[in-house]
Amino acid sequence: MKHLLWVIIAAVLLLANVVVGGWTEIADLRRAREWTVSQAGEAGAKLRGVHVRVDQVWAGSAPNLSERALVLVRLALRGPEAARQGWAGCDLSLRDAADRVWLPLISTDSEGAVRVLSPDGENKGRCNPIPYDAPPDRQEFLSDQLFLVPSELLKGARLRVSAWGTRPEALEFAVKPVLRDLQ
Amino acid sequence: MIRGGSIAIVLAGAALLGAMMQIAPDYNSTVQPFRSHVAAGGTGEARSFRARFAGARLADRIAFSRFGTEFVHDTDGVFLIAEIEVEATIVSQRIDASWQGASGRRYALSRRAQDIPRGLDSHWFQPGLTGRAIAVFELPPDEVAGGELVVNNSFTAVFDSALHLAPPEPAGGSQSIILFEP
Repeated sequence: MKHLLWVIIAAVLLLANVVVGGWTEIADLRRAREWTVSQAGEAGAKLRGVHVRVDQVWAGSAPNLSERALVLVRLALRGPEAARQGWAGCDLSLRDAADRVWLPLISTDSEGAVRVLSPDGENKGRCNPIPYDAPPDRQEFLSDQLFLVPSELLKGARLRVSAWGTRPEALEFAVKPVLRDLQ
Repeated sequence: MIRGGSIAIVLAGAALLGAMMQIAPDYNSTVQPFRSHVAAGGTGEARSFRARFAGARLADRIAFSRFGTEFVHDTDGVFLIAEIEVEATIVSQRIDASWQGASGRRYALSRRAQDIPRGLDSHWFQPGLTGRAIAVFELPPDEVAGGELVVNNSFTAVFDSALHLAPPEPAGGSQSIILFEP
């Protein structure tokens, strides 16, 4: 009887260890994956208190490298600061029908490319939901992300947006770039 | 008699445990990437990218410009400049490379060649687009012949794949200097 008690205690502790360890792993996995994707229209959509809209998408190819294109996505976010805190680590990616994923370019060269592609010649910076100069809660603020993709992706790309505080939920937008002549 | 049998069982168990400890692989070797060997000039297919060893040159010195400053580096060994063609197949990614010399020793990318134009350490490869990048290694001269280029995912190679690419041709004579231009 005494031995049985020890066996039961050991089994309970083992189970508790598995539950606590497993829960932590599952929580980490949920923050890294986009399992629940909501489709959003041109008017945008709200996720976790923040309204997200694709403001403009421009694309351009160099004449001697027509098989590849640069795509500039200008994203608009709007929401109260408390909700925007959950959008820290805002991630954007472009996807095709085969679910291949293109991530934004991060390099010293991309700064100049953004200014060339945007008609106003400005770079709004990468998606940062809590900037130091954030406008009032009801106003949108913009960010620019640059992608290098095969030109064929311009026919039907999808933009996926999520953040640390939203995942596994994410928003997805159909992307229709305005083509710009880079000659 | 019974006590002698018990002692024998304990000793046998200890010997078995000791033998297992001796032959058990360490953590680092159990989580190595899965290797694929690729013949010279061929394109290897890894889990998330494909790659080809496009060219190799040797140099005694390398020169490049970084942030407006000219750099010239020389070496007691030799610089191996490997040109690699890579295409990501799943997601935009970076690639890490090392040189496995004839002795089996592994050489990492030379930190003295960081930020060269088209350098592998700063290059992102995109799905559907073949990109060309340069990897620079600083090696003892006798580690070039018989060596191979090892490329794998830059972020985590654990249980991922690694391509062992044979050089396209035996690297010939060493040039006195190679200049990297944008």
